[in-house]
Formats: sequence, structure tokens, C-alpha cells
Amino acid sequence: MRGGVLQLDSPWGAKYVARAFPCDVCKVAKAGFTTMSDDKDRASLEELESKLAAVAGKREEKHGPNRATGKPSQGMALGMRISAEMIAAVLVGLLIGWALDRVLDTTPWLLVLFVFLGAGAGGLNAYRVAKGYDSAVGLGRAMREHKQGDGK
Amino acid sequence: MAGPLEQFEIKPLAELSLGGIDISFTNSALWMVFAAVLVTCFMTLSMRRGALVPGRWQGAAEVMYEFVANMLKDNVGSAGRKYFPFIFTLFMFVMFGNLLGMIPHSFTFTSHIAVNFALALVIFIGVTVIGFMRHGTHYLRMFFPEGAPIATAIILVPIEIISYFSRPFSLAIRLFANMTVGHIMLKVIGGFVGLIGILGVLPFALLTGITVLEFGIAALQAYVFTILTCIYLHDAIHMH
Repeated sequence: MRGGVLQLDSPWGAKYVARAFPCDVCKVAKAGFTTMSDDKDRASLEELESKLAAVAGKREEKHGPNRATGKPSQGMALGMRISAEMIAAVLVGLLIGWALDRVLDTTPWLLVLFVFLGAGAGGLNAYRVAKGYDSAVGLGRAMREHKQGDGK
Repeated sequence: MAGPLEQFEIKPLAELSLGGIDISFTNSALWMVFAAVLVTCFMTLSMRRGALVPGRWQGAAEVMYEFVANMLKDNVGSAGRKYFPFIFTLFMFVMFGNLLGMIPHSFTFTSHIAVNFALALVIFIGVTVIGFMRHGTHYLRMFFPEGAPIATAIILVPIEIISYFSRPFSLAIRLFANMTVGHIMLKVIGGFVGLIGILGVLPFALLTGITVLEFGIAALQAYVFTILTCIYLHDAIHMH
């Protein structure tokens, strides 16, 4: 088949260069953007770059990717997200309560209880979205992760 | 003039039934097929030549590819690489569904909660299975917030469980609400254009602006749907 032609490049790496692109060309293109003409400087820069890449790789292995969380999105989109979270949580509480009531024959007590729990979960979810803690389940974990991110 | 809600009506195009279950081919299904075929054609035809220097179509396909690849890499990390085909398909399907809905007289299948919920449920079940496969029963630990006093577990665990189960609902509701509200708004404001004579220019101008906004929302909601999937995937993979 024409696999070689159709195959897409690996998605990783910041700059995409078509697979067939000869590497010398990209080096030339890269060099064109740097003002550094001194070879020694460039060598040390490259060394630093590879060290940084190694550190970043190790960090990612341990903690997952470095994400820019905690930057809440703006206005309308944020409002839409929060309202969806709250509605969804109450809805799920309602469903669970209703189903449990049917199974355990305790109508309507579990329904009432789970609507309140659902509202609580909705509030929690809304708080998470607003604070940018929505990266992880479990509020304590997300807050700690957040603090670590800020501490650096 | 048709009512603002008639555009969401599902009409069977070919009556089918399987063991008493109605599986008719509807206008919704037709537009889903359109979306799937268009995405496939777009990706395969524009990458057919695989040229050294990408042309217009290849450039567009590569932008999509890289956009999703970077999103996955930034949010899930290298462990997410093997889920790329699914995430990319999801993004393209939802985005084409949203954008096809902007064609007059077409049908927006993402404005139906059944469609969105089915997609969200696949994601939810998949992510849960991945979480349990990678962490075993340890995955259950995320239902109790770290650092909270153990006595609070009786309240916090149900809340966290509800919060976890609300994910597919919030995914589905968000996409559904955005699409439905936008299309109703277009229809209602569009109704005013013919109704108030010469002054109809004003709603028409508004309509033009909103149409542009709706195209933006169509792309944005596909992005939000995909990025939340990535976040859920991240949770399941790295639950430190």
C-alpha cells in the first residue's frame, strides 16, 4: 500500500515537520531565527535544552503533564459550565434517590436525601469549576496539586 | 413561519424495526452519516498526496490533527497517546455535527440530548474502565477527599460519587443547551425580520452577528467536549 506516504507524523513535539522533510533544512530554518552566531554559546544552549527536556520528561512521568489550571475561563462560557454542573449533579442525585427508593421501597425518603446530596455535589462542582480545581476528582487532592503548581 | 422548536423534530426517513424496537433511519441519523462521511472524506482526500509542503486542504487537515494532538498531550501527557484516535474522532464528529447544523434547513444532531448522552456515556464508561484497569480498587480512593477527617466520609463519599456520576450528564447537557439555545435564538430573531416591515433591518443585523457567534460556539463546544474528555482521561490515568 501507500502506507509510507499516508502515514502521519508522530503528534508529539512542539514543531511539526512533515516526515519527509530533510532534517538539515529544519536546522537551517531554526538557525535562521536565533541571533546567536557563536558556536560555543549554541552548544551550551543545546546542552541546556536537552537537560530541560530530560527534567520535564521526568516530571511528567511522576506528576502527569504540567497543565495551566487555575485560570478560570471568562464570562458566558464559565456561567454555562457552572449551571450545567449544578443541574447535572442535582439530576444525578434525583435519579439515584428515585432508583434506590424503588428498590428499597422507602419512598420518598431517599429521594429527598439524595436531592440534597446532589445539590451539595452541584455546589462542590461549581466551586471546583470557578476555582479551577476541576482537574482532579477529590477536592483535597486538587487543592494540593494546585498549591504545588503555584508554589514554584 | 415554522415555530422555533420545529427544527428539532425527528422525522423517520425509513421505517425500520428490530424485534419490536424502533430503529428507523431518521433525519438525525442521516446527518450523523453526513458528518461521518464528510470527516472521512476531508481527512483522507486532503492527506491523499501527503505532500512535502502542504497545500490548502492538507494544511487544514494538519491543523486539526495537531490541535487535537497538542490538546491531548497537554492534558493527558504521553500516556494519552494511544487514545488519540478516539479523541480525534470524537472532536471531528462533534464539530462537524455542530457546523453542519449551521446550514439552513439542516438538522443539528448535537441538539438532542440522546445523542450527546450516548457519546458522554461511552466516554464515562471508557474512562472508568481505564481507571480501574490502571489502578484496580485503588481507583475507589478518589471518592474520599484526601486530608478530610474520616468521620466526614459518610457525607463526602456520596457527594463525591454523585459528582463523579454527574460527569456524563454535565457533558451532555452543556452541548445540548448551547446548541439548542443558539438555534432557537436564531429562529426567533429570524421571525422578527419579516414581521416588522422596514424595521426588520435591525433584527437582520443582529441575526448576522449572532450567526457568526453561533459558528464560534459550534467550534468552541466541540473543543470543550473534547477537552473535558481529556481531563477525565487524565484523572483516570494519573490519580496520584
